[in-house]
Amino acid sequence: MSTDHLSAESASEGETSWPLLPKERLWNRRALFIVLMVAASATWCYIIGEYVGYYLPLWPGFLAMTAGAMIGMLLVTLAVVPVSTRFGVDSIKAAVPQFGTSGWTITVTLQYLSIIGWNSLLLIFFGKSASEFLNAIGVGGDNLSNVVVPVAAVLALAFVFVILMRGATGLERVAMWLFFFIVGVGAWMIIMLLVREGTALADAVPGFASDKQLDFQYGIEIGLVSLLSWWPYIGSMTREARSPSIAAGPSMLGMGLPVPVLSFVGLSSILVLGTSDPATWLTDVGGNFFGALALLFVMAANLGTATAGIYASTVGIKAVPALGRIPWNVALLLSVVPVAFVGIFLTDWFFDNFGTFLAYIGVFFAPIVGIQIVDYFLIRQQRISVRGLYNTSPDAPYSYWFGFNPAALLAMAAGVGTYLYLLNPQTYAVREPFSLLGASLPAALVAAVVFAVLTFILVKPAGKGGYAEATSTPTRVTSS
Amino acid sequence: MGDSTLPAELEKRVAFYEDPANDPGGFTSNDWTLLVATGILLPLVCLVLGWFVGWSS
Repeated sequence: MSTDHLSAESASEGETSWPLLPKERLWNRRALFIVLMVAASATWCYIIGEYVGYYLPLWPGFLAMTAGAMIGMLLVTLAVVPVSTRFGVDSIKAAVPQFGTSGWTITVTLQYLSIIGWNSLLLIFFGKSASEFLNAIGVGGDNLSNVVVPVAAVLALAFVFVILMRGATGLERVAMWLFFFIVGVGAWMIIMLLVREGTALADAVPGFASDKQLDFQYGIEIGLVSLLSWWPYIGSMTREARSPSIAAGPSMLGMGLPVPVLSFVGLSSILVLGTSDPATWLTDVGGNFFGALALLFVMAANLGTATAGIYASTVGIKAVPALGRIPWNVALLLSVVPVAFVGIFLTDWFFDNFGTFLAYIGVFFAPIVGIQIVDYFLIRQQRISVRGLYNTSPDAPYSYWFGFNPAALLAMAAGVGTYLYLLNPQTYAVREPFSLLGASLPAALVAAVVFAVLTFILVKPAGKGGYAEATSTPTRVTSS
Repeated sequence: MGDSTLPAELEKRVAFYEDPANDPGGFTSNDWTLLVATGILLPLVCLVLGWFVGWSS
């Protein structure tokens, strides 16, 4: 039997890929908003802002980034939230109707690589912040960072591991504690930069500025792909809410908006201070006391996000049939160890290639959201077989051919090809119509169209995909 | 390759959601309003402000 094999005990704790029951889904709007906001608010916002600051001045950069971010958040919300909140499943299971019962080989791999990348970045920043914090309070010398960065990374991962031994409960607890700290110090950093560097910010010229329209599109695209990277994260958290209605607002405003707002810090600092990393300028600008306080914020914010990321990745790992039986803590280790390896041993390599990593996020997740949205809302008319998500028999609705949906695979290929044609992830060289449309939106659109066409000419006539079956449809709408 | 038999606990969970009465439904009209406002209108306003006002400020 190759259905998901998990113990009833662990399933009741919400740590599996099985549907959570309403009695296990206790997060209201406020709790979900806080968890999503804490998950979104991390040091990566500063490096996202930095990349926008290479091309755009402060306000055009902030506004372009915000526009892109909110469009990206809308796409991710439409792709994942309806299914994850209706049935209490994570992002990986929410993609089964489109990619097939063996489709996890694609989605889990992308989730795993994406979360390893983001969390490695957080760990590196965490270690650097810890090193600067010790400097600010007068501990250590010039070579301190060589020791502190890897040690702090290991300690942070150990902390995350212990927190997540409690599953989603641990995630919620740590988010509640971090919420006010993150909001308060984040606001302080923004105000401090505006007050002290306001004049310089107004006159600052981006380092790589060239053509106005192209630069503006870079800003939109960077904001958009950054939020597409929430695809692997969001389902594992929104499944804790009982309906799409509870999750819609927290998703857009809790997970979407904080990224451009906090990225303002990175955008401002790269324009006037030449670096986006607060660890290197906070004590200079804010003085030792406030600088040290803000560095604590940076560390705390990264811990919150790393916790959410490792949790999402672990839930995704449990969706792999061969790994479904392993204990939660072992799956947790499988999520933690690669992050530790990259964060400790490949620090410089990863930093040097962050822009490439960011662009590859768009390469893969833009087609995925396009496929999911067109399938769920337009083709299936929101009808999903929850049994089909777990039934792996050959005649199951989402088994397609050998567990894979060729329409999704070809649509992915078309979307990835479109993205790569428009934007080279390694050099950021572009082809038109990038300056008008960007790369992620056309990639999502092409993937959606290819998926729809292949579904109508190939999949539906073959009786695959459960399109003809009477399946669950959202007929009873509740507001909460 | 696969099997349509689900473990008992999973079967219980799946059966629960197969009952239409337990389906929480999709987005409400208020949700759609929020999604359109924050995911389409807000970006449009930002783009217009950024393009026409941002550079001159």
